[in-house]
Amino acid sequence: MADLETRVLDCFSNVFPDVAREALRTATQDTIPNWDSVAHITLFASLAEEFAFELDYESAEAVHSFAEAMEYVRAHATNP
Amino acid sequence: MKLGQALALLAQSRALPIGDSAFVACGFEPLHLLPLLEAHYLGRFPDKRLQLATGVYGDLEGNARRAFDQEQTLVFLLVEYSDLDPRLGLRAAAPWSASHEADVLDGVKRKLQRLYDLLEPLTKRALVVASLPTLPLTHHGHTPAAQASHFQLGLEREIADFALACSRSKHVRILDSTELARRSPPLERLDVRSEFATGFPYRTPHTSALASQLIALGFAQAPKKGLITDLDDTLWSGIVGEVGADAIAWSQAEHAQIHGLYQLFLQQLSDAGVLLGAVSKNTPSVVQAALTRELWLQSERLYPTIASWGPKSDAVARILETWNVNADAVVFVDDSALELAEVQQAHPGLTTLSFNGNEPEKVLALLERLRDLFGKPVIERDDALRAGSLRRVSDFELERSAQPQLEFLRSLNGELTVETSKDPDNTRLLSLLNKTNQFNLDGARRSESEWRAFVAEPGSFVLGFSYTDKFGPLGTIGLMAGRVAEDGTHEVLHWVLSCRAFSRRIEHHMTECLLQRANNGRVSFTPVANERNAPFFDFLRSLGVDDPGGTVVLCRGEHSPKLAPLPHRTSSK
Repeated sequence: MADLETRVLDCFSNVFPDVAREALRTATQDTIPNWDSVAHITLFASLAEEFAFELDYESAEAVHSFAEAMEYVRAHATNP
Repeated sequence: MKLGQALALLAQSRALPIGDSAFVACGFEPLHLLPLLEAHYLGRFPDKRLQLATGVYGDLEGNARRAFDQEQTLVFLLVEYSDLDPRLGLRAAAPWSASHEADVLDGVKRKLQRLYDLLEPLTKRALVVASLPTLPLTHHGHTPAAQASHFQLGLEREIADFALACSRSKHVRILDSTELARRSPPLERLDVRSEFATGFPYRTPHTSALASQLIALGFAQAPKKGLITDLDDTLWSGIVGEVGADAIAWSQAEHAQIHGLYQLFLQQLSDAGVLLGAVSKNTPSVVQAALTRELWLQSERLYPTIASWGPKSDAVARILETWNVNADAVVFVDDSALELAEVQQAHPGLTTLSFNGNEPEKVLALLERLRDLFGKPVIERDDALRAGSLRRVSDFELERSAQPQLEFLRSLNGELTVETSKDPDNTRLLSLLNKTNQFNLDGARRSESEWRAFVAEPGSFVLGFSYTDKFGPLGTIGLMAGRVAEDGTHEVLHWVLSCRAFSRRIEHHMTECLLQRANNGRVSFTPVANERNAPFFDFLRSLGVDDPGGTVVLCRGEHSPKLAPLPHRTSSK
């Protein structure tokens, strides 16, 4: 299985396919114009599916960047 | 399909051209439904994308109204109980208890009536694929869980009445709840957290199951055309060559009901226009004796029936030739794994399925599979003609070989009727376009929504040709459709002629008909050769067009004289 960061990056890349993978590593909601509320829910639903955790929408709302998403996944993943 | 898989697929496919577009009318936030619809569409059509438009949250009725004003000719309508009365959803803010039940029921009835009234005009320009409540009512009603409440039954009746009324339209497809339940267990569908947090009520597996069924109905696969069945231990129980015609069985009393059920199923297929043939390793007279018994399937529906001791693949080849149908449009059913393998090897495109009379549940699964393979949204008038016309074609060929061609064709007393009205409801022509391979301009297919949009274009023309002669009616056998250019040239985009109507010079009649209709006497088209449409190019060569290689322009003055003498009466309506 790919490492955790690659898997998170895959999820980001699927939701924001027009952003280069390298740029995604440093991405924030401000640097990706398409990162709106729908994309946010889609991204977290995709992360929840990939890392087999029950999505808590409220806490996910506090995530605004790739780095924070990594932290969130580390804290919630049941299959890291 | 998982959400991640769908998103990855869409990410890889974003450079593909848009193939179709559809409007999603629902009352909830359609979040993951959209990528899963697009991904399942890509599963069907890997070289193009589906473009989706949506309405606004919480307004199903308004969205159905908005769908009418959109350009999309395909509408996915998703109704949940909460759309019919908010008290039936998790976001309820008013009581639904016993004293309010009558009010809820009354409101639901009126809402469904309004929805029906909206759908009626919508179906004049769009195909509507409707999913009726998929989320169960879990906490409404005063009865224990094991007991259906009067309230719930009343709601279900209103929904069923609505579905029944909608299903009368050729342009509404209602999602089958049993098939959906097989793919998505009802109690595993609701995502409570997502509904509260985002307004999207479905778990991903349910969303995917729903999306796949919506796509399957919105973009129906072409049904198979013919079924070739084995006889011994398949159509009936017993080996007729060993036990004799009187001892073969297919009824409950003879403990062979599963074979009877298969016969009745084949009768149903035949009534719906499916070609049936039979092959058997037997002496012809033995099979003939068996077929004179009163089977539950009318034995004359099996045409042709070939009994011989040669390889079954040879017999299958003869049937395919008689039907003039490609192997990939045909299913072969046999109880012998060896015979299935032998036929499959010789005809790789054929679908081969096993009949195992000792395991009736497998036979039932076979019938279910066959129903799906041959399923069509509506049965057209011409479907009933098809099997009979096959015999007529056979009689025609016998007589044709005995006389000079023109004399023979004139003796047919043929009549070709040209239907010029542009009726989007006439799906017979679309069906003909999508199943005709040999005399076909370019092999292009159209979805129902594309076809309806094309027919609705102001500059388009659609000519449907039907034919009858002394051998009987062949029904609708030809189509020419396209656009009229500013200078009057008729630019043909679709031109097909059913193989049932070959050898009658009907293609010459069609050409002359269009040359006469064009104000400037010019008809243009761009043929594209494929592995199946050689007959179309043979016809072009007969007009002196040897190597089209691009757009062909036929002119009344130059090409009408090159057409063969026209043997039939023609009329328009």
